[in-house]
Formats: sequence, structure tokens, C-alpha cells
Amino acid sequence: MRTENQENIVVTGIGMVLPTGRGLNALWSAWSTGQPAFFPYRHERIRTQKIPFFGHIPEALLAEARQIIPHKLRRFSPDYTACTALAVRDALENAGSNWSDVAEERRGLYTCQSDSTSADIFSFVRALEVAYQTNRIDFKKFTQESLHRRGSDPFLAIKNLSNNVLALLSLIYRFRGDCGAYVQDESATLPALQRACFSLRHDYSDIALVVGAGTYNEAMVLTEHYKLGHLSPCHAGPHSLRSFDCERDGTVLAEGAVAFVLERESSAKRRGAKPQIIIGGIVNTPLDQRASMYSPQTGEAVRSLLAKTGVQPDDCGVICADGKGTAQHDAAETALLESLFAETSVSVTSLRPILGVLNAAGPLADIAGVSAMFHKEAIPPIATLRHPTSARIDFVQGAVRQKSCTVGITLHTSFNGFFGALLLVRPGV
Amino acid sequence: MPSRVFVTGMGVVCGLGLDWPTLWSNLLAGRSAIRPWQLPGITDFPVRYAAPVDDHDFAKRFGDLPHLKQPMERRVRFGLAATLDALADAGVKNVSTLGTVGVAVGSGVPERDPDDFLLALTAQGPRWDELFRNKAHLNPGTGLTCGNDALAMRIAAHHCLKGPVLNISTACAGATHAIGLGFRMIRRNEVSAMLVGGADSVLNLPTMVGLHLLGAPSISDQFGDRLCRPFDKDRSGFVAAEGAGMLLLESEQCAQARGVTPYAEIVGFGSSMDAYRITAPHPSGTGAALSMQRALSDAHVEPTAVTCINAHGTSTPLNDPAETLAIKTIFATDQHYQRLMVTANKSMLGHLIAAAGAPECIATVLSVREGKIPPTINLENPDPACDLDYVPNTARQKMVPVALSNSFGFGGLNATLVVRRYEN
Repeated sequence: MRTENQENIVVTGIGMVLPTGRGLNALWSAWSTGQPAFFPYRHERIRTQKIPFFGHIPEALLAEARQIIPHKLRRFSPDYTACTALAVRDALENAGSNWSDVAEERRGLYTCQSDSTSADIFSFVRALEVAYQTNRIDFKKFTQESLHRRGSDPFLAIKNLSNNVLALLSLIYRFRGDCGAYVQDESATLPALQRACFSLRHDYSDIALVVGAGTYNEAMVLTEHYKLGHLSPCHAGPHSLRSFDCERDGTVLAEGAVAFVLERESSAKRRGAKPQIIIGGIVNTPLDQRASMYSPQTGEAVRSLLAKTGVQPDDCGVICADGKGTAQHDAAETALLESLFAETSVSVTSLRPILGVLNAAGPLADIAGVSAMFHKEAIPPIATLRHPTSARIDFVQGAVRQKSCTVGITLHTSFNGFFGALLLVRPGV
Repeated sequence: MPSRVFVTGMGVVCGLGLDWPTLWSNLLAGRSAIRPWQLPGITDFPVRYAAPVDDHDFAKRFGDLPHLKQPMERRVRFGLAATLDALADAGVKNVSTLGTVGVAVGSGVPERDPDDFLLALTAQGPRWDELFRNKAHLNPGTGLTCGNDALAMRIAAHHCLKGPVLNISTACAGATHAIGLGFRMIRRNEVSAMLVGGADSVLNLPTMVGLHLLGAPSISDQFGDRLCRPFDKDRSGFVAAEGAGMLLLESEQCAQARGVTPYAEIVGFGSSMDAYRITAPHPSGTGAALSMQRALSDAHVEPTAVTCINAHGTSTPLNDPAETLAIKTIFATDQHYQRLMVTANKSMLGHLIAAAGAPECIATVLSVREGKIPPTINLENPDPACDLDYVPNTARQKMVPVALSNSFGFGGLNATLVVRRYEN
């Protein structure tokens, strides 16, 4: 098989701060034992029965993450930023200490976030409380309170600019080279990866950090997803996200951060770093119609990815599918899988029943999952799957399946109408 | 084989004009879009000047277009209008005839309707259950229901684009990053054309509160509508604006096949990070210098070949001397910086934040095409720390074979484009 360009781009460092805990081992442990990382919903100010479960970062891990932000930068750092900084530290350590030999100006940084990480209604809470009058806001009072009595978060604009992950990470880890911040819900991740690969291939950078981060734990965002019927009522407790199951009834939203260190394979080898996975190819396309409907476009996109890389559908060992667990998204994805992989030996699994929908960190978690599957020569099951949506697809159910794979694909359909796929290759093939 | 990248169409919506010829003539005449402004219903907001888009003029020019009548954020409406204008300007009726076309847009802070807050409020303060109860009344045109990438998505959907769709959020450098990424993709033959630019509107209560809390916009009432004074000793902060600018970039092959004469050629792009502070640029301009250096190197252009820089020039106390130092660093050979013409369009346009780089790139393209450099107006009392030729107050006519356009954003995010006069 060949990658899209001659020079392979490899992942040499992975770090993650997820509801499953810190690092890939914690994720693998939860995934392979079928333990969802969903917890009763919590928010400092929100009390609701309508969101029973959420993929929260464990409190202790959050506290640990906050500690690594330099004190003077903490005022700019919401919790998801702190988690990102910790994930990045782990990714850089994982890439080997001599990554820092790369000149600061040659270190590229590509971040992806979703809108839901922007400052929320509670940034204004004090001013709102003061300014509230029956059925109206006294905006004059609101303004006075916001501006003169610290009734609003003073760093609202910085947090709200949606690029604060980029800015903070560049300061903390001394990245001064090529950069980009993509804010496109879950679909921000693939453009960030594409641009990072581009930057490495065309010599704009010698090392590239790709970071996905965010949280759906924002009042208005949750309201919107609830309103659209995306969320599971969680009658089965934490085991309620039932990807590709005929009895699925919605998804569970989550938060987290994943960081990758990317390099040209030749550079990685020169400095003695161990490639963990090869980014073989990426497609990312807006859909003509709603993301929750099957579109032949998605099939064409995957076929073009396979054609570009010279891979036959049967060559794929494993698909790490999206499997959001909503009725429409999984029906569309099942139709896509049937159009491409029906009656093949390709095994299909999903991380969503364990992690939920993570926004920008999700696709990176899936890639890390494929890397672990390559390394461990095993495929964890779709934890909650009992009645598959298709008998023509080899959905992995029950126990971990032993299988050695050299090529894997991850599939991503975002709420905002993008479809993306990544082709991943085991190093050394 | 890398492809040359041409600018073949331009559209703009801003306080200084709703098309590029109007923008350009106003810039050359030194007219300003900055005027007294207040948030609706709030008479004592400390920021009293801005450069808004005239809603009446906009409705007159674009009001008949059905897809602009749907609920959407102001920036999305401006961006869609600018895109239509850019395509019409390029003579493109059906984008798919250009081959694989993508879109890259720089955008900033989502617009949130302050009235949406009311939906969550009770006598005890904001309540989640109250928001749930009122969810049907959330403004469908702003904030939540319009994601940050709404403009990029709408452009892609409206024109059935099959190429990459990127929404870039690098603060005030967003549009320049978007243009630069589009340029790179065409040059490396990933796509045949790109719609690139930016759109932003910060003239709403939540965003202006946030910006004011950072101390970024000027609150001085000393100079009236001459408040935006890049490189002047009496500058006191930026003046917020709103609008959009979109450009059609085409590969040489694509433009030649259509038989169009490009406005100019984009030949280089550089980006960098200061890694210094979140709210302030490096005082020596090291990040800005690196961005310019990378762009020139990318373009294979010697610094001495550059004659004009469209500066970021925000009129803030920190940016302007830092940018001056950065320019002096990069153009130190033979003290070439003394021969450069440095213009700051924000003195007339105000600061379009994430979109700022787009109309400024359009002005740069027109400078190299027409050999005219718009002035930096309100430069009445030069700051000794800002000692370059800023083309003060009157436009200048001079050949501009190569020019730079700079954009620097909060968080120390920098981007620079190199624009060259089109020669066949």
C-alpha cells in the first residue's frame, strides 16, 4: 500500500485526558472490559434530570491538570484547557525527550475545538443576577455590573476567542512555528490533522502537535442537543449509549483532550523515536444533506481514500466507526458500512459506548484506539451491542477479539454536517 | 510542480463600502467608516465609536437575495454577500466549473443574542430548567444554532463545493490564515480554486463587554471619529468594526482556462506564534518578524524587493511599536525599512477582528495592481517609537511590485501574506 504522498507522517507521541482517565492504557482498559466512563451529570450551577449521564473528566484528574498550568496563565484557562495542557505534556514525553531539540520556530501547532468551549451564559452570571427584572434584563445595569463590578468574567474575550488552546500551549511548550486553530465542532479535527501533515510534508515544520479539546458541558449547547433529540434518556444507566444497536435511543455527550505528536517518518527514525501509527490518508467533506441521513457522498469519499492509497476494502483489518448511538446517525453509518464492507472480513468496533461524543478530541481518541489495536493485536467490542443494525457487517460483540491488523479506518460524522475518514497503517508494514 | 496562485475575484462588505471599488476609492480618499456608535438601548457604554456596516445600505444592495433572508448571524450574512460578490467579480456563475473548490474562512467570537440570556433568567438568577422551558424561543439567527463554522458551511452548501471546508479561529489573524491556507492548497495542487477570507461582527453586548474588559478598544473621546490613530503618539486602542471580505483564488491553470486576467498573485504565506503573552505582543515583535520572514522565504522574495506593507496597525499602544520593530528587523539590510511604505487601513476601516486581514489583503492586491497606496489617516503626532514612512494622511502613487499584508492576533498568533503584481 502507499500513502497519499511519498513521505510517511507518523504519530510518535500520544497523550490523553479523557473520562476514562489519563493515557491510552486507561482508555484501553475501559474499552476492552466494556466499562463506560459516564457519570451522573454535574455542573456547578445546573441541576437537571434531563441529562442523567455525561462523560466527565474525573475530578481528581481535573485537579491534577489544573496544577500544570503556570500560575500566571490560570486566569485564562478553563478546565478543558488545563486538560489539554496535561495531554500535551504526556504526548511530548511519550514522543521521547529529544523532541525538544527541534527549534522552537520549527514546531508547528494545530488545535481543534468546538464552539461549545466558548464562554457560556455563566460568564455573565453575576451581572445577569443583578440586572434581572421581571421578564426583562436591564441592560444598562448589566453593563455597569459587567464593566465596573466584575459581574462578568474579565477574560471572557480571551476564552471566547476559541483559540486560547493554541495561545496557551504555544506559551507553555514554546511552540513558535506554523500554526492553525480550527473551530468546527468534531469536524475540526481532520482539517487540523491534514494541515499538520501538509506542514510536515512541505517542510514548514519539523514536528507538529495536533490537539483536540473541548466540552459539551455548556448550558445552551446541552439545551440544543436535547431539543434536537440527540441525547439518550439513559434508562440503562451508564450502559445507555448503544452504538449500532437496534434498540439505541440516543447519545451521551462528553469532554476531554487528546494530543498527538506528528513527524515525518524519516525525522522520527533519525532521532530514535518510535512511530506508533502512520497517517495513511484523510478525507473530509461537507455533506449535501443532513449528517443524519445516508449520503452516497460518504461512500465515494471512502472509496477515493482507498483508491488513493491503493488499499482494497478487504485489506482493512478494522474499522473504528463513529457510532453515536442516535437513531439517524447510526442508520446512515450502517448504510455506509454496508455499501463498503458488507460480507468482507473487516471487523467494526466503536469507542462511543465507552467515551461518548467528545467533540474535537473524539477523532483523535479513535486514532489512538486503532494504534492500540495494532499494537495489542486485539479488537475490543462495541460494549453495549446486543442487536446489531446489520447482519452483513462484522460488528465486534462480546469479548475482545484477537486479530492482527495492519490497516485500519476511522469514520466520523459530525453534528454539523461533515463526514470524514482516516486511513491508518501499522508502522513497519 | 507547484502552481501559481492568482486572485481573480474580490468581494467586501464593511463600513467603508459594500463592494471593492467603493472600498478602494474611499481608502484612497482617506475617508473613514468610524462614527459615533452605541449598543442598542445602552447610552453609557464606555466604547463610543465603531465602524459598523450600514444596515439600510446593505439591505438595499443585497436584500433581494432569498438565502440572505434566513435567520443567521450578521457575520454570516456579510460573508455570504461578500462571497457572491467575489464570484460575480470573477465572472464565475457555477463554481463547480472551476474543478475542486474549497473554502477557508477566518471567524472569531460567536454572536450571542443578549435576549437569549433572558430565557434562562428567573428571580433567583439564571436557571437551566427555565432555559429548557424556553428553548423554542432561542434566537435561531445567532449563537448556539449558528456554529462558529456556519459561514464556511453555508458557502460550501450554497455553492456545492467539494473541496476542503475550513473555519479558522486565530483571532485577528484569522482571515489572513484562511487566505494563506487556501494559497498553500492551490500551490500544492490539492485544489484548483479556493474561496478565502473572513467575516466577523463584534458589535454586540456580550462581545463588546469582553473586549472592553481586556482594555482593547479605545474609550477616548478626545478625537471624535479620528479616534483610530495607528502609529500616532496619541493612539489609545483599536476601534471595533464589522464586515467581511472574500477572495477567489485560482490556480494558474484554472485562471488561464477561463481566460481571466488576475488582479495579482499571492506568492507567499508565513505564520508564527509569539509564545510570549496571551494579551500582549512581544515588545520586540519577534513573532511578527518571524511571520514576515517565513512569508518572504516561502515566496523566494528578497526583503529588498518589497516596497509596501499593509500593516496590522491597530492603533493600540503595544502593537504599533512592536510591529515597527519587527519591520526594522526583517528589512534591516541597507536599512531598507527606510524606503518602505507602511500603511494602516484600520485608521479608516476600524478593526474587523477575525475578518480584518481580508479587506486589507484586498487593498494590498489593489495597491500592487494600481500602484497606489492608501494613507494612514489621523497620523498627526508621530510616535518616536514608530519612525517609518506610514504614508501619512494622503494616498501615494508608486509602483508596488511586491507587498506584504500583516495580521497579528490575541494570543500572539501571526500571519503574513506576500502579494506580487501580476505579470504574464
